[in-house]
Amino acid sequence: MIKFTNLSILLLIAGSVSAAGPVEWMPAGADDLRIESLPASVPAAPPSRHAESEPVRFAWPLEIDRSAPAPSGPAMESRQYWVDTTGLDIEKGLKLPLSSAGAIVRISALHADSGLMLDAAGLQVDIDGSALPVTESGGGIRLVTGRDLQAQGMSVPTDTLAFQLPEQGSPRLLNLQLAGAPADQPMVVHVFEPRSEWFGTLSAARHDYLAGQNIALDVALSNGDQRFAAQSVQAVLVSPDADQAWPLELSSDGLGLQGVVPQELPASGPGLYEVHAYLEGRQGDTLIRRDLKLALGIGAATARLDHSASASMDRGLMIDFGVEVATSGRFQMSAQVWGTDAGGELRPLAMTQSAAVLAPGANQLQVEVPSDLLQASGLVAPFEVRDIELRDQGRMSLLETRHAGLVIGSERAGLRPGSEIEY
Amino acid sequence: MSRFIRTGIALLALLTFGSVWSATGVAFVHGTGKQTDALNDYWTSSMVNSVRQGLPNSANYIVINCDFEQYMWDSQAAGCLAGQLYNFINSRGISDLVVLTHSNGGNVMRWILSNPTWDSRYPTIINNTRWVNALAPSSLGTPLADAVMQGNIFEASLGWLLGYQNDAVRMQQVSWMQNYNANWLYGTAGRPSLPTGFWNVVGTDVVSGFWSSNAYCGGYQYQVGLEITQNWLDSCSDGFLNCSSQNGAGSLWFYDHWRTSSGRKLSHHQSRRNCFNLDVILRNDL
Repeated sequence: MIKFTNLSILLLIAGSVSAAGPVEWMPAGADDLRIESLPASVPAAPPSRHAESEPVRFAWPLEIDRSAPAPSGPAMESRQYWVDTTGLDIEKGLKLPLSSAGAIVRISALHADSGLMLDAAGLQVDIDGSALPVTESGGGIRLVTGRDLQAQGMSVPTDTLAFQLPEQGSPRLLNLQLAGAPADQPMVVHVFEPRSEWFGTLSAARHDYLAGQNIALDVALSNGDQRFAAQSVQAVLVSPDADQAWPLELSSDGLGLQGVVPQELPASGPGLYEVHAYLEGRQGDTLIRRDLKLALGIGAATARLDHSASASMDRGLMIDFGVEVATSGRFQMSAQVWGTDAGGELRPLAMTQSAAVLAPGANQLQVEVPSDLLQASGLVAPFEVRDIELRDQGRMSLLETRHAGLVIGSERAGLRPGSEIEY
Repeated sequence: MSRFIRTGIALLALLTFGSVWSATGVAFVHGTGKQTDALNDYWTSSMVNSVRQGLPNSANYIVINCDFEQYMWDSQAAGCLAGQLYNFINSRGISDLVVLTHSNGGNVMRWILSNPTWDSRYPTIINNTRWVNALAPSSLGTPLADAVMQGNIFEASLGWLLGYQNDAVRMQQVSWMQNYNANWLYGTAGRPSLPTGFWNVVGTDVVSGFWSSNAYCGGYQYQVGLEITQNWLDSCSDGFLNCSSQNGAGSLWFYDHWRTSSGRKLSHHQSRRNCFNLDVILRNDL
């Protein structure tokens, strides 16, 4: 009988890892973000903005909050819309559809630095042909200013007037006039209907896309029970700096938007792309207008997993991933590592990350589970490496994901540090 | 593991190994805004001085001053925060750091905790942080940020988007935080946990009536705009953030009325001030 120490067990596991090619990729899932091949020429990508040049690795015990499911794709609802106008047009009067009582109306200069002082004395508010007094003392609406809203943390321009319409009745049309602003002054009117049963919805299956990929979204008007296509839908994908926009097409049933992420991404600064959708629909005599936007992460194929991976247990569990790089930058691997407990059940072990500046060509990124973390967990092979993600840190884009990931050391199930085995 | 158990373990370890441990410290991390004197302009010295009395060495504190009008990852935001925390840890030998964040400061700190490989200073900060006490963090964003982004892209030039909003407000739009919480930040439901505890203090209401003494703590705020802004928020909010956002990442420490004196509610403004015994609660946690 030979009794093995923790160290010898680890060496045994290490041997098993390196011996029979036990690192096995699981099949990619339909939801995985994948780059099958890099472009033949250097992809048009924004410059990498990374500041760190040192390679950094880090791992910590993995716990997952299971109080709710993992986030699915982005989804937004809206009971509001905006109208761009000018000083001249708002003096003539704007006709704004309403679908409920109690709407909040805000009038602002379009840009913060206008120096404009909106004068409440020039305001006229008319609902379905009946004028509302605009002085609170007269039983009319109560006006608040930009400074009032800023005091609540709402960073509207100082040049703002806002008020709430009466909470009674079923108004359908607001006629809004404001005199006194310069004729060519860009203005915006924001209408929010918190009590309306009608809201717009916009959602996507994924948060992230790559250049050249198809993009698909669901869009609708809804009252919670019914979902219907708007009569008019306009939608665009907008770059982070708002300097470029690409149209999205409405599907034949009016409930979907499709488009293609541009192949060549502009150098548009940090931040997310946005889908903007403008909906207008009618239910009976109610005209419903809703504006929606959804943030998406979009990146260029600057690197990919080359599907090589190896593992060793020299100093804890070390996993090397092959990364093929098209454009230099700082790239990050992250992964969840699960291990096997004494009962043979997989348990979360560690969250691990690694990042380094990589040059074009074949590279490796190594993630690790340090030996102290591994020992403390009491978990052993087989390990599963899940939710593997390759990111371009310097351009803040998600490049590849493998939800199922890979399996390490499956033939040595049950070995754990400290266990005694007889040979 | 509950906060109570963790506290017990920390206390036991402190009693056992206190002589060989180095110092406990506390850092105050402000919210959105470009601060140059956050001690006076954001927290007030009475709040800071009260909290730091809970330290074995009350000099081991730092009040962060950074530009949190930038995106959370920006060198002037998380980079600045990391620099000040890193220098504080190294210069004062801090190995047991409690970080107090308010509002968007929670997002900037969560960026550091979620992205340890972004910056070689981050691991040192994480390894020496006991936990984060996040006062009213905007973890899921706020619909008020969505409401102030303005203009219709079909009717105006595309330049409107950057007309006046700072990047921090833009980032705290709800759908932007959905993206970052799904991608770059940990600690939300269904996602891996953060490497350190992130404990939320949730403000649940605003008392604004001039007749109520509650409304005057932290300085009376003219609340005339509140009746407008509340329309974007849930019935449970601190006047700026829904409770769901404040407790959207990490773990709940307490809803304000669970622990404050006489069960009083903390508005967003009051959760960074020594109102209703909040300073003592935070002091006793050090």
